[in-house]
Amino acid sequence: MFRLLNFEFNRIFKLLVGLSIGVFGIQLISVIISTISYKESVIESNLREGMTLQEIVETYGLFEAYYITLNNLFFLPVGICAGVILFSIFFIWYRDWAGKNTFMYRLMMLPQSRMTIYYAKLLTIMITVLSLAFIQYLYLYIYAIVAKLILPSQYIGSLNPSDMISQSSLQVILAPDTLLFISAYLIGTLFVMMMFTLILLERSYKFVGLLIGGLYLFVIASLIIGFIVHQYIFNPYPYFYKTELVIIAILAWLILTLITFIWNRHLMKRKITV
Amino acid sequence: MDLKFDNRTPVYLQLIDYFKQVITSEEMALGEELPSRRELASRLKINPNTVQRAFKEMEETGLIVTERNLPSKVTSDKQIIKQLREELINDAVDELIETVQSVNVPLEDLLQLVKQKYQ
Amino acid sequence: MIEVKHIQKKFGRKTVLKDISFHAKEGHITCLIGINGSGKTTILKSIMNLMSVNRGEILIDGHQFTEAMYEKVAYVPDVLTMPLHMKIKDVFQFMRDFYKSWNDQRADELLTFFKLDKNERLKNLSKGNLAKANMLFGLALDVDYILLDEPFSGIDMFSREQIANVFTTDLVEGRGVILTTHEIHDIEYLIDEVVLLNNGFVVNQFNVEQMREEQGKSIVDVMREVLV
Repeated sequence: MFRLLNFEFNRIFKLLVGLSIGVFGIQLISVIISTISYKESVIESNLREGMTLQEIVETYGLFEAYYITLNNLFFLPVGICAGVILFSIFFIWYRDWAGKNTFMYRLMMLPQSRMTIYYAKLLTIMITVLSLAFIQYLYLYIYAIVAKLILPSQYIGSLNPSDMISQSSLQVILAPDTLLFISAYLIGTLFVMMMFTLILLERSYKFVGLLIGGLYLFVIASLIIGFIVHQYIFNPYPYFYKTELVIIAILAWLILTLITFIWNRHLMKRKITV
Repeated sequence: MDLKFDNRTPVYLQLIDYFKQVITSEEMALGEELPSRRELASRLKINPNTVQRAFKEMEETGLIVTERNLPSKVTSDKQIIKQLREELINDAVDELIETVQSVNVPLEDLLQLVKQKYQ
Repeated sequence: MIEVKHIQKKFGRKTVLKDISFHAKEGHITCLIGINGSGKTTILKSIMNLMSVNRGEILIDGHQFTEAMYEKVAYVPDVLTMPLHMKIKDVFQFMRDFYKSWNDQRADELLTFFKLDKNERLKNLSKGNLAKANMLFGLALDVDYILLDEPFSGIDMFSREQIANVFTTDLVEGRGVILTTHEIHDIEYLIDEVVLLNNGFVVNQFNVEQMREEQGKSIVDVMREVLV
């Protein structure tokens, strides 16, 4: 199984590298812009107006982690990555059916359980996503150094990555709390599996499959939204206690993952064809 | 090897006939080695099973001899060859007679024609 | 022996295979003949468990299909089964990694036989060479049965000759071969058994030499009688 995982990962590796470089490039520019504009608008202009260092710091505070991620440009590559990964979720399957080489023949004829194809693709996506998150985390250290190179040290406050994360939208993909982090990626895995369901349904039943898949997603989305509405909007006060909510969420995740997995397994073993 | 196959008669029989001919006409000598089954199949572009069957029958009628792990050889038994020649000649004559009988040729004219054509 | 018993396959409303039964013995070359669309490819895919059937069963040496059987039966479809950017030697490595039945020596022999270069990329190969490479990947496995889908279609005469020649060699000998074609000219003297398909049914299965011996008919004669 790991041979196949290795094979799939190698196929996506170039993309991973490309994205990593792209993210770095754009974010670096964003950080430089943010820092330089801070330097100009907060420091330089005020110095010119005769304020002293102390006065500037007292009025505006120090350059904190928050400023690094301030620019919208910073999150553009993150968004692009998300889009590319979503595309990859579909591409990782469809490219094996497309065109003159139907590699899916070979995959389906490997003398191992057909589920290894599934696991290999699922794990490749998840590893790629986690790698990008990890790389993003490493980059934060670099951005801190860059800021320190541009600004005089007297104006610099705490620039550690965890502050950068907690003070920005980065906390969605790099949750500081371990439990939260794991939960986020477990939900992400479920999402990928649901996308796989769509793909496998289409490959098994063609257009009808797509409809069924769409219906499936629609039902689940409705249930979730309906629950949220019931919980927060229709009642004078939230219906369930917080701990109950957590349990409900966990149960929901377990049930959905189980259903999705079993359904996918059935499709893989019995229904998909070349 | 100049052998064109007819697709309406068994190939293995055609192969045997070919060897019978080649052996009696002395194109192949007594005791001469035959090409291997695979080689023959490859050269003639036929199924190796067919070659196998032909060889088996030729072995059974003593036309060829195969010792363990050695390539097959034409028999060295002159008697068998003589018998075969007679057989072929008899068959040919039978066929000729059968064909001309329907045309009602008198025997002397037929023999004359044969003498002429034999050159 | 591969036994196909009364299989039926529907695609939506269309029943492509209505009732198909035949057998293919080890050591024999069995040819499925039928016009385009008669379901030959569907039959092969069903045997290989690449497609499910609505009814009937398929037994390979008496057993139902399991994933481990891919070490026992190989399928060469009419499309390439490996990513185009790979070189032939990369494919060899891939097959080596995944199949215990991969035979390196035979692979090299076949390379020589087909006159292919290990270092060529698949996408740079001509149509004929691609077909040969595809076949190589299947034949280099030490499997008991090989299924070939239209191995001769759409390729040049010389490649066709080479491919036909492979069946006379020990590279194929002893194994059970099922191949499909609608053009038998190249292989008329190579095949042992013929299964004629028409309209979703097997209209005749016969041994070619027997048909010649007992009825003095060629394959085409039988086809003409039965299919026209």
